[in-house]
Amino acid sequence: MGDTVIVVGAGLAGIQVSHQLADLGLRVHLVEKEATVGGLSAHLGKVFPTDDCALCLDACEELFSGHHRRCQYRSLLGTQKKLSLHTLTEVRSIKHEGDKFSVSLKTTPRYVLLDRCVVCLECINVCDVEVPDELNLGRVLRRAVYRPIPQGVPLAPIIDMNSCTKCSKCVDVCKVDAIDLEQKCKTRTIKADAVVLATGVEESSPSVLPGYAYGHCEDVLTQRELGRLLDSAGPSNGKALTASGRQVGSVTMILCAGSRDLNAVEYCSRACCTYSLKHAIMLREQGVDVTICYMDLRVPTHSQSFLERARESDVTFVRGKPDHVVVREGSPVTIVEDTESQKRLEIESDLVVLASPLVPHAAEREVFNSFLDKYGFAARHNALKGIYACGTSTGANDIPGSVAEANSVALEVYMALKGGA
Amino acid sequence: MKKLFLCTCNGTLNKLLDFTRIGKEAKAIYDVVEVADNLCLEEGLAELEKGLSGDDRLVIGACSSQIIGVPMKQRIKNDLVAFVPLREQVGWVHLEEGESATNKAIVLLSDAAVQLDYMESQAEFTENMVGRVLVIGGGIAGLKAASDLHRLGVEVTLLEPFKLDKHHYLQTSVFMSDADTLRSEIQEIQKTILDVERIRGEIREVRGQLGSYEVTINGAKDGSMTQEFGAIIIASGNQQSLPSSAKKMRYGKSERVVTLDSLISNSKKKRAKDRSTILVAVDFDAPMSSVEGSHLLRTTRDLAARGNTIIVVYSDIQTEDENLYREARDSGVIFIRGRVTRIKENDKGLSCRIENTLESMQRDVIADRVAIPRLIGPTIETTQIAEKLGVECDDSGFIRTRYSKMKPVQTSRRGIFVAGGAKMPMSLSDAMASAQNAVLEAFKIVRSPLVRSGWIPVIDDEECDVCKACLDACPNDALRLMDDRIVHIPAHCEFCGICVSACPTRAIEFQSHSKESWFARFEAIAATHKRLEGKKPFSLVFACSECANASIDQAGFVGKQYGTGSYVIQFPCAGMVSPIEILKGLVVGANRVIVAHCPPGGCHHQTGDHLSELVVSLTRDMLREIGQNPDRVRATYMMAAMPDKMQKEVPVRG
Repeated sequence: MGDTVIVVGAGLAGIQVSHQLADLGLRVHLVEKEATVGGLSAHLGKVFPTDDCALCLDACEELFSGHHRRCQYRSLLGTQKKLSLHTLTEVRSIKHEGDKFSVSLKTTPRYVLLDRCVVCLECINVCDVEVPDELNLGRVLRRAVYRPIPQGVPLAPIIDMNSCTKCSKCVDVCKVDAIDLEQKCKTRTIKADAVVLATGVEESSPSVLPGYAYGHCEDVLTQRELGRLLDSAGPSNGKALTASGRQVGSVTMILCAGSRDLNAVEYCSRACCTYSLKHAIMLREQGVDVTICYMDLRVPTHSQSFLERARESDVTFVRGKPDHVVVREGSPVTIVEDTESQKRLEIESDLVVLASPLVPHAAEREVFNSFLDKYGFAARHNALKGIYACGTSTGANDIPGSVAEANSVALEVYMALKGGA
Repeated sequence: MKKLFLCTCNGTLNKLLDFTRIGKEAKAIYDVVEVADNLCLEEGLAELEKGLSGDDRLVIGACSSQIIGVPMKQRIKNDLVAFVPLREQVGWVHLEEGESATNKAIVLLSDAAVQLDYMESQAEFTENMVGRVLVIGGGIAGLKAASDLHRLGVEVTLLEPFKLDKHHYLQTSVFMSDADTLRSEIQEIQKTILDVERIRGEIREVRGQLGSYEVTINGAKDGSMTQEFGAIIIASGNQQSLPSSAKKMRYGKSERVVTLDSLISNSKKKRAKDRSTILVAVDFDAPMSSVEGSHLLRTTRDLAARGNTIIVVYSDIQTEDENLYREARDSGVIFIRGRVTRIKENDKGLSCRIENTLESMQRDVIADRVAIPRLIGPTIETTQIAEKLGVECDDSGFIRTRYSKMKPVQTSRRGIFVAGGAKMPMSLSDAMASAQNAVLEAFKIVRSPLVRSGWIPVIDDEECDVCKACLDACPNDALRLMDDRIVHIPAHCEFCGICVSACPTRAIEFQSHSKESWFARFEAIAATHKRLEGKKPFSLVFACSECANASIDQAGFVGKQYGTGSYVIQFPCAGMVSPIEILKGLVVGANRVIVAHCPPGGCHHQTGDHLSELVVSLTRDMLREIGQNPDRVRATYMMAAMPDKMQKEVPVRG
């Protein structure tokens, strides 16, 4: 049996499973469609249950024996001997041939050469194209050559060819010849003995739920977007501001906005109650009034302290699922029936934040369709031997659950390839 | 020779900092000063390699050691290397202060030169690991762990502290999954562990360390036995008990009040005409885990499907499968949000008063039976085993894991792992995954000798009065008392240096980080600062090498500017800082000393964040006592997700 494994998706689960497999001595190709690794966690800043960095990784043994965790930028992902990281790369097809899988990959150009760039950031300094930064709600500008997130690995910038004018100033200033504006797409096929799907989830866009005024009012956000605002490396340096730049005084949160609902997403996304509480606590620290409208509060055992802290910091809880959000004089007003007092409330606030369900990435559906269930999630072990899944690609989950699942899948892959199964 | 290699980072750093002046100053303290343009690229590394001989001591003034350090380490063999992050911690964060920034660079380079004087080679250890693993507990997680280890070719001993047969498995694990899945899973695992060594007994004593734990077991039959194990997996499971509210629900007083589980087993035997109204009273105050929630939904669904009228009185229900909720509703289960406040028994049955928080009103319901769901808690054995093994438990008695986000099975002691319900209530699939996690960790330990290197604490037996403060302080059980001496256990050591600050006689010094080295470094910083910056104030930031250092690096990446005259000194862990270093910092003239540690509870070595806060608070008290301003000393946490922390701590110079 061979020992090559392809891991699709370099979020926390994908990285974890790759580290473990490489430490066990298998040959790992970690494929990520974005320019940097980290997946959903890269958007989050601080995370529960430990209330520390989202981008903390379990350190691989090869490079950091005796160290437990490393920041993403310090993890030097891909510098291990047995682990190759392919960013900006998508899986085009997976073909089953004998006891191997033939996986076809397509890499789109970064236009910055990873083996040459020294991350001096001079190209960013000289670029004079400015466009809204989509990762930061379009509230700040970025250059055409940019680093999507500060800790982003690989550290090298990426050029957004849609906005680049090819003025070549960056090429001139780069004395190490790390920029190639003519870089082309590359395709390659890797023969693998096992494939691990760690394609993760994304927050679904609430624009499919017209009742919540998302898209009509700029002060109706999702929890992920609020997370960007509260991130001290984010667009407003961690301050909660309205779209017009005013300090927020009050926030209403709507949990289960579009989930546990037969007409939208049927399942419970499991992580949103707790990260909403985390954001509520951070807002209270800034003196912002917070009201949380909920059906059930589903906080996992390891994170009960978030619920206690939210209660202690005087977050208002309203049991009831809001019918809709209306916009009055530019500000969102939440209409909800408080099921405890049976009163109909109209809550005015500066921001309304929707806990939108976590859903599988739509983009992967086509290639992986045969491995997915009706919701778009994959089974931990697929019926087809050699195909595994872990992390949120098997269902919405929190970080501890994803990491534990990644470790268990790593062991299964190892046993299947190296004996024991 | 003492050599300095500076890097201009593609000709950018020398625009921010005056490299000519830096070079001139550096020549006075280094034997050789070289300037490269791209030290991290192949050509730069080749140049570095050419310019070095084996016994050179080296300072790299370039980007963060976290970035340049690793390719360099792969390339050159010299181990006496100090790093000065001129890019992230000087150039990028003092863009408007060219001259002061250059001064800061020179101060840090003079500090690094002194650091080299005190630097020793890292100690290296190779230890053989015993190949056998002990699995404690023959529940589902324990069986799975033993079975997987066995299949991996690892020798396993499965210790079953209490007798379990298939019937018991089903009963004790009933909440984990539906009965059919559970039964087939148990059968599957039992097949694969037929030739695993299984013993029955109770742990009497555990000695030794990771790789060679010596365990004495009081056997049921053959007296006691002692055996060595490379790693230990605790899988002592959990048990169900009645909530404290059961008594109020007349449990034990009325035969009609029973546990929910007893109803399921009984109802199977009953015929259709025995249909009854059952009120399920969920404990209102205890938070329900999703495992307990799912079990409640499964059982009430099944009871309702058999024609019973089921009323569930509850507060919050968690479940990992939303469809269970729907199925329960569809089969007729009535859910009422609220609490049962009173139960009276009369000839019609049980009259239950429900305070309905949904409708803010009370109502009485007559039920034939009241069923109480049991709560899941740790087994008594778990507490006993934890005590014998010296691992920590949480407040409810479950085994505590080291870092809840990313270390799912690592207990507080190295080489000992927890699998399954001994950690928290788990569903079947989570328990199986948990067992696999423990197997993976144990397998990684026993399959090859442990090779580690690092600077270690050195104990001066003359100075040591064996007060054992270091033993208590060491978060990793890496110091032990043997024959009236404190002995270092390298296999457990994380090289954090917390033992140093704990020692009242300073009989422990950390290699390369002695008290003398700190004093000499602070003096060098102060002297160079005064020479270049005169009377302008300066501050010392004692940053831990994990989160705090990462936060300071990230300030560079996002360009958060802060004041110059801020000299960051890296400690292996903030827990290593003692009042001695802080006071010395003030004595040499620092305006402020800031101790920066990992976020609360997030110390990579477990206790450094907490300890450094204590040390700083103690030092502040001392300053206050002698009439000094305590605010000159501060402790704070920093982390990479908060790159603005340096800006907040040092908004202006000094």
